[in-house]
Amino acid sequence: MDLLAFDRARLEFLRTSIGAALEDLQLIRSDDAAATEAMRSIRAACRTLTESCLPRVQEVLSSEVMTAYRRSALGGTGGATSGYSTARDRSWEATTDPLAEPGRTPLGCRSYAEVIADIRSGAMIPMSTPIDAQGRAGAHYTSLTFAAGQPLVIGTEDLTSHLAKFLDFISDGLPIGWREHQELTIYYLSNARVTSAVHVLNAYDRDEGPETLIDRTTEATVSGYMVIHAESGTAELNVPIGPGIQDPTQSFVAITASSSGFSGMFFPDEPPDFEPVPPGDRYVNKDTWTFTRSASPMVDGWGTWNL
Amino acid sequence: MSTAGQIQQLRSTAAHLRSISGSIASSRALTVYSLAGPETWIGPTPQSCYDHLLSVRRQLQSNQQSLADTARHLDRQAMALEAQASIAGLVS
Repeated sequence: MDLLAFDRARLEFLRTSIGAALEDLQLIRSDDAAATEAMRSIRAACRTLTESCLPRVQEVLSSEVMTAYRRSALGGTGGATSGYSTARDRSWEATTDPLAEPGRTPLGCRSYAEVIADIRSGAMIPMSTPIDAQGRAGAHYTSLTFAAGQPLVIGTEDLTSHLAKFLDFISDGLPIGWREHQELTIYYLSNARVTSAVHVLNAYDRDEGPETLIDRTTEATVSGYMVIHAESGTAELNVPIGPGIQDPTQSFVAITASSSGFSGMFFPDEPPDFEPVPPGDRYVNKDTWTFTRSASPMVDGWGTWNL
Repeated sequence: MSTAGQIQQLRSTAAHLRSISGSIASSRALTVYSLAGPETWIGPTPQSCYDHLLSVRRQLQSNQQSLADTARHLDRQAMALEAQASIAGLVS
């Protein structure tokens, strides 16, 4: 269960401040043609503040659940423990995070079939491809890392071929077996952080990854559809149990070797606006996927930007 | 429209755009994101709210810069027209 912890006084100040920001923006008026784009952005900003930010703050402040969870024990929430420990130390209030509740889906989200159809027809345009070093030592290449707090699974499809399924089936009775699985999953990411990092192609530790040129790293906040094609394969050496003729499925796996990887692409709702990473420490989501254009992953756990 | 009228209009538009740019720059919408960080609240909803506010800030800053650039461009156009007019005055 995802928790939301907060400092009530600060959150009330945030609510007031969002209201003040809204007032400032609503005072800006112009019908000059040269300011059309700016006025459109200001109206969009007002909508974001009014329809997204303020209701969320208000919802947390007025939540009934809040009283029940007041000063509850925090901390057992997996990866985010350090932040929640701080919250507990400060005796913050806590509740179940509304965004973590099942059934909360973004309005107007496409279905799995619609996403596939729109990708095939070209109606959905993928984010710009990362730069590839083309195997030249010392050349620059980029990686795209997505950090999505709560990716929403739109749909999953098993793409394992019939031959692979048949091999998987008969592997139970053969001395040497091969099991392969391929799956296509589509997620909707809402306000995910995408980081474009620049690297230099040289020798590096595959566990730690390549060195990143920090001053050239940019990031953007994006919403859209992430399409991931994951594949895994396992080779097995099976040894029959017991002497003589017996049930061929009665065997144990003596040696096994597995490999897995993924490729994918992201289709943003709007073209991302990459900016330099703001200075200073801040609260960020854990990285979910990292891609490069390279045919094989540059680092264990990274994927290829391709479908 | 006369050259003087054109110059006046260009300067007036530039001043207006600069004024909007200034209003955006002084708007509290640019700084409110700093109040939505982990010192105030933590969790998926706070992260989403913070990202929204940061996105608003970036968009507004981009527009603010664009308005200031357009204003400078209009000012330069006005100065060029003024220079042309004064040269034409000297010749005639």
